[in-house]
Amino acid sequence: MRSLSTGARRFLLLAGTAAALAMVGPAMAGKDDNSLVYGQSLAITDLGPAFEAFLNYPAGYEASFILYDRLVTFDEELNFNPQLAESWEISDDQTSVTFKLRAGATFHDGTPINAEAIKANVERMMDAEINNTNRPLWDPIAGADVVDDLTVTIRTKGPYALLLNTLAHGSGAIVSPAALEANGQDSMTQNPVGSGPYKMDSFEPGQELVLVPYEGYWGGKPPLDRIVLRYIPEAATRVAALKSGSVDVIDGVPTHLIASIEEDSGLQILSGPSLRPMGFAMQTTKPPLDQKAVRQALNHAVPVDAIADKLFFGYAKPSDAPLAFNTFGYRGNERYDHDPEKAKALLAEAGYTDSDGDGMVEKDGEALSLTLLTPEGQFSSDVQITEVVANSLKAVGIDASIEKIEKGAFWDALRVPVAEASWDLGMFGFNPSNASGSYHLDSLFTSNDDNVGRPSVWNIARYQNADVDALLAEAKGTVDPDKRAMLLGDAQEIIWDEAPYIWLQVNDIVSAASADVKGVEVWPIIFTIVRDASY
Amino acid sequence: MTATSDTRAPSGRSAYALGWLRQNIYLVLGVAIVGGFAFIAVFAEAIAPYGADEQNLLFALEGPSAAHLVGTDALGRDLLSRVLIGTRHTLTVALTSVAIAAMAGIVLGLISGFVRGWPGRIIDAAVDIALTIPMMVLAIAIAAVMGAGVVGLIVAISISFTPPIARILRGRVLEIREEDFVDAAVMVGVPAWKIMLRHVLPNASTIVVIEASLQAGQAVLVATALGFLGLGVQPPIPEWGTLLGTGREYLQAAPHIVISPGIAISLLVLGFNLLGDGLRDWLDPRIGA
Repeated sequence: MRSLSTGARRFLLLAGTAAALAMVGPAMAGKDDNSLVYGQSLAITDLGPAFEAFLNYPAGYEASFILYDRLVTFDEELNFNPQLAESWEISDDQTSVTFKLRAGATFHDGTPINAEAIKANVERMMDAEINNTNRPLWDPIAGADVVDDLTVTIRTKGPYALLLNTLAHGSGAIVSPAALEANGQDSMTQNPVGSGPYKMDSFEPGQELVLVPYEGYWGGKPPLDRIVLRYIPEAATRVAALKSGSVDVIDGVPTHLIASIEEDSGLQILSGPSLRPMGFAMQTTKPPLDQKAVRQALNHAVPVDAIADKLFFGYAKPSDAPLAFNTFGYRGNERYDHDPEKAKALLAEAGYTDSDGDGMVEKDGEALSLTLLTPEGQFSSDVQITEVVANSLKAVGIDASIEKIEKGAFWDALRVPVAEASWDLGMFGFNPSNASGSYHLDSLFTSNDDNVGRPSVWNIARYQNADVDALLAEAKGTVDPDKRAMLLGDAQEIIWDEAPYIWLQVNDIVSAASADVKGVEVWPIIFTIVRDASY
Repeated sequence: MTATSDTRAPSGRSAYALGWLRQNIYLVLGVAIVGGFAFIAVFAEAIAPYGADEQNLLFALEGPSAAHLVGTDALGRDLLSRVLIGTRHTLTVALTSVAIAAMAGIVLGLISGFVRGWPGRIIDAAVDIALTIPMMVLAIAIAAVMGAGVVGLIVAISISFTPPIARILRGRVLEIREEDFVDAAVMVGVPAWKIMLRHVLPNASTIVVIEASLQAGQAVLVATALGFLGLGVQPPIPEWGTLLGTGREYLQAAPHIVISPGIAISLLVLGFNLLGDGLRDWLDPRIGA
């Protein structure tokens, strides 16, 4: 017997090292007394509201909500609250809004925030060269006029029901015109000068942003000495860092780790429902998914309650409408209950029966084969959801197979011409970042101009219904919120019944913090906001 | 019979056998481990207590119990069954790709070692270049281009494992080419391809067998690593690396998920390495330690 090969030796060495490493716990440094460290799941790479605007949603936005003020802001329920504007008034013809500004507010460079500064900011964001993203939010705006030093009017090209949504959006951040003048139009991306409670101390893009109090803040001296936003990509590492006390707040908590955080009396879970309903878009123009009975059968086949309870431990809720529960315009419908027998009956109605007794359904000798497209790691537990769905489709006799693709290639694989689509069912969830149900339904269910080509927006199910088109078009031009909600509700009722999706669940957004941290907010548009945090 | 007959030293054949066993303990262990996995791979469905994709969400993330010996995963599937049935996928990918790599390596190695002039030099240069790229990096790049799936996995591993075999064989062929019997064959006018196949390859085959069996262990590692990175097979196929990769998410809440595939991978790699070492010691003592 002679020596082992290097391969075998290396193997034994590695095994030993791994065992040794496993015994050494995470040794992490402690923190200062009155500072707060927020471990983020995504990296902040840029801090300016224009020029690509806060890449890596939502990390950069979360930083911007501390650094900058906007005229109005959202609260946790996405209601509008005053920020730099103390009050506002909508004109009778609904084409302009006049804002009364807060007196005494200043930028981090000491210059005053007045009507001139607001006008300059609005005009800057109207410029498509400077504000090259978020165009749908800013295109309807016509301009801004200075009324007096603390009063400014913003005009729109027509009645624009979502003006406040735009101003409360991250791109509505008000920056110092003097700093722009001095440092250049694109200086905010690395050198932000806003008017929020904390200003930038140091910034390493992709790693860490350190913020310190701005003494001149209009709301009084902020409570913390320091806020650090640190990028920690691995979910398990974030949770470990929180438990060890090296960070105070984290986002993106995996649902199976929630219990271990709840058990720890020194920690708290901060969660709220999201605005993103998950589901599988069906190729509704291709047989057999062009038949409503088949589409409804698929919905009856899938155990959505079990997915919400067992896969997400109750931190998800089964959908009962194409919109999520907290989206403006949401109206619930009767759910498709999990009923395999009913699914089989509906399949039989469409001509698919198990004629040869092998447990799989056929029509004219042909099996019902469907391919499910899923990304890996794009949505929480995406592959596992797909495995459950495929398994439950098999249980009613459908030959379901899974195509998993890398998440970077996923969006392009969804939005392809009919002829190039490799999938019959594609996992999808849409997050309306301006909180508008009208925008959401429009993007997903308005008929495509070319229904065999690449979908112009996100109607990847190729859903076509003239009544829905008419209702959504009418809703877009309707400023009265009750009337608009009624129109959106009617549209949802039709869409729900026609089932162009396998409707699944709406996940909660789950963040966590040390028990002694107060004032952290979790917004339904996926933001975890530490602006008002304190101990 | 007296007591002496029981205690007397084994003589003749048995002593030789025992000595051989002692000499080739790696080989014996390697054959036993790899053979065991091969048996599991063939009869997986019969051995496994449950189906590979038999879900029961009510029993998700359960630890080891009488019903589920090594516990269940996030979808309530029996992990033991998934690891057992997964043996087939991991073993198939590893063996198929090493077989392909060995064949390609033999062709390239023979030509580059035996044929003087440009064909040999071109192959030689290409192999040199390929050898500068780390095997794992090359495999990841190819698998990423091919997309997830068994075929992609096999192509990725075969291509990245071919250059080392070609290189090792070439060295041996260069030696053999200088032997008298090759000169003799050339002189009596035997065509080059015939010399390569009839005279050179049989003399060089040992080294390929040894290298291939050592590579099989590496192939298991690369295949499972690609699966771990999400470049492996399509769900719900229970390939070991994929089991490990999805289990990683649950490392804190349910560590049992990664333990069984982890042990399976370690054992199989160890088995192939022992087999390769044992074969080398047994077949070709000259290239030993």
